[in-house]
Order: sequence, then structure tokens, then C-alpha cells
Amino acid sequence: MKSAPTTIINKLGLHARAATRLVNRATAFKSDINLVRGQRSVNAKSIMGVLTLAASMGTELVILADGPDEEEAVAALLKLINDRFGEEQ
Amino acid sequence: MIRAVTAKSLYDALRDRLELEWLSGDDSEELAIYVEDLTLRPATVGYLNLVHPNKVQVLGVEEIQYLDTLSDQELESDLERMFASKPIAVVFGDGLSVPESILKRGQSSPTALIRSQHRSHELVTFLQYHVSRALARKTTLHGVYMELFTMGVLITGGPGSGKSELALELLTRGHRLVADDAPDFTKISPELVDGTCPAVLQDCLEVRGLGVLNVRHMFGDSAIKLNKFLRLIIHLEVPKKRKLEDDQDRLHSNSDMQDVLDIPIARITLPVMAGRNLAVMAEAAVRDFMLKAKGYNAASEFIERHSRMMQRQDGRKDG
Repeated sequence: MKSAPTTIINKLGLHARAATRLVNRATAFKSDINLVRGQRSVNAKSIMGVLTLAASMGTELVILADGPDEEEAVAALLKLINDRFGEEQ
Repeated sequence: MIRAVTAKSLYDALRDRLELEWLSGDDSEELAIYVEDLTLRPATVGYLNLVHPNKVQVLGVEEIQYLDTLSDQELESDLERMFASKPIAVVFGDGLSVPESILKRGQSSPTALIRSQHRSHELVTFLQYHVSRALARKTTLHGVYMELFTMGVLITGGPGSGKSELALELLTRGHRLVADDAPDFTKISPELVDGTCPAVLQDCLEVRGLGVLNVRHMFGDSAIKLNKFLRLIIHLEVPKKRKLEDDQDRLHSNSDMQDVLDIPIARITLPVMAGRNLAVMAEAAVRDFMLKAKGYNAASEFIERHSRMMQRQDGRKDG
């Protein structure tokens, strides 16, 4: 089990397109990956679940990964979030 | 095949419906209406017109009355012009008796003279429709053409993608077959493509392992639809690799447009994967497409709802 805290830093937050990117990136890994916001934990490979987090800019999340490629998975998702999902702001 | 309408083909097609009577003219195919003729002027069939000579000149009561008012010399020159433009046929409506002068010219001309018991305006309507239908652009597409929930849907996909199996399952769920493998599509108006079955394939569906099935005999007459306007293409695709692209949209259907006879038709691509019930997915795709056609887009509404939720939450945080 590998976990890492992170903060959403892009202006629009985890909106539909950003969430799609995140889910597609997560789906590429074998590990079970969850995103946690407060009490709420959702499967990072499910678009609807990720969207229910309604994570806007400044929201703190925890990435939890469990499986053979958990290290890489957490690193990849952290990078995506810190790159603002490839967005300008 | 060159698409052309000759006097004989007109006569054969509409003889019974319009009570046509062949007065004169050989049935050679020397004179014909070709597709190109449709672009030259708006109509190829119309009432007697010497300025823009129609390919089929229709003469009703008024036209004959007009010819009666002419002096012999004028009549000769008008008839000269009428036949010089080489119409494929001159059609007399209302069961009129044909003036001797026209009969005589007709006998020495390849133009056919045809008489009908029907009103001349009815003749113009029918003949115009028949000519444009016969000359309409046609194409054959590879796939199974079906009617799903009253909507014409073409199922396409590479060999082995399961088109016929999907068709069979849709038939058992009460949908109807138009044509398997090679449906013919005709552009019957600027915005409509009509799909039909070639005669030889009528009622047949070929399924690997089962061979050719007669759908009408197996499922009954109600399982067959003779023609349907094409509205949607469902394309079955066997994904090459499991890996998802970063930007592959999960909220919207994977849809684009495919031109059929220059008319854009919506196309939805369904990935074929083990454990997915394609018939259920195809039905859902059609239902969703019908909603979109009415202006309702579930994905847009969902995204809208989500962004409202995020905004509300931002407001709470700031305040």
C-alpha cells in the first residue's frame, strides 16, 4: 500500500476533462487506486466516482494505491495533478 | 451501370398506375435522360415548354387548346422545335385525342408518343418523381441494415466483428432486418438517404457457422422491413490494444459523422470486447441518439450539474 497527499492546483479543478485524463491514466495500472477526500474514497478508475469528489482548486486529496505497480501509479497521478492536467492554469 | 431513363422504362414502370397507352415511337434507347440532365435545369419533366425544352413534354387540355389557336405555319414551326429538342417522350393527359399533325411527326421521330387517361398535373407529378428516383445517386455499403426502434441503423465493422451475430440477437429482441451484407442506399432528397435490400439478398442473413438463414421464415413477416431512411451507423471495432489513450472521452459516446452520398450520418463506434452484450449496447446507443436528436444530451447535462456543484462549493469556501 502506497499513499501520497496532494492538492489540486489547476484553476478549473478536477472538472470533466481533467477527471477523464486522470481516470485513463489510472486505468493503465494494475494496482487498485483510490482517491480520498475527507471521508469520501472513490475508485480512481471510475469517471463517475472521481467526479463526485467535486475537487476544485485547493482541494486536498490523498492518492492510495495497492498492487504490483503502486509506486509508479502514485508517481504518475501526482505528476499529472502537479502538471495541472496539462492545462495552462 | 449507366443510369438512364428511356421512354420505354418510363412506360413499363408507370403503365398500370397511369393507364398509359403507347401511341408511337420505337423502343430504342437512343433517347434517354441521364443524371447530367438533372443538373442542367430543375425539371426534366414538365408541361410543354419550348424555351427550356423538357425531356418529357406533357400536354394537357390547355396546351392542346393553345396549339389549336395557332395558324398552320405557326403550328408547324412549334412542332418542329418541340421534336428538334429530342424529348424522350411527349405525353398527352386527360385521355385527349392527339392532333393529326403531332401523330404524323411522332411516327417519323424516335420520340415516343404516350397517352394517359389521367389528369396532366398528376402525370407531371408522377413522371417527375419517377425520373428523379430512377436517376438518384446510389451506393452500396457493407454492413447489416436494420430498423431499431423505428430508426434506420447500419451496423458496420470488419470481418469477424460480429455484425451478423448482433443482427441475429437484435432480431430476437423484436427489431427488423432490411438487408444483410450489401444494402443499397439512394439519395432520394437533398437530406434523405433511403436504404433497401437488393432483390437477391431479400430476407436473408448469413451467420458464420449457421450459413444463410431466411429471416422472414424464421421470425415472420414483421421481422422484415423493406426500406428505411438511414439515420445512424453503429460501427463495431475490435480494439487493437487494451491501453487507453489519455484523452479518450468516457462521458460522451465515441461518435463522429460519416458521409453517405454527401449526407453526413451520425456514427457511433462500439468497442467489441468479451463480456459486453452488444445488442443491449446497440439499443442503448439508438435510444441515446433519439434523445440527442430531440435536443437532450445526458453527458452535457451531467457535466453542467457537476460544474454547478463545484461552483456552489467554492462559494461556501470563500464565504
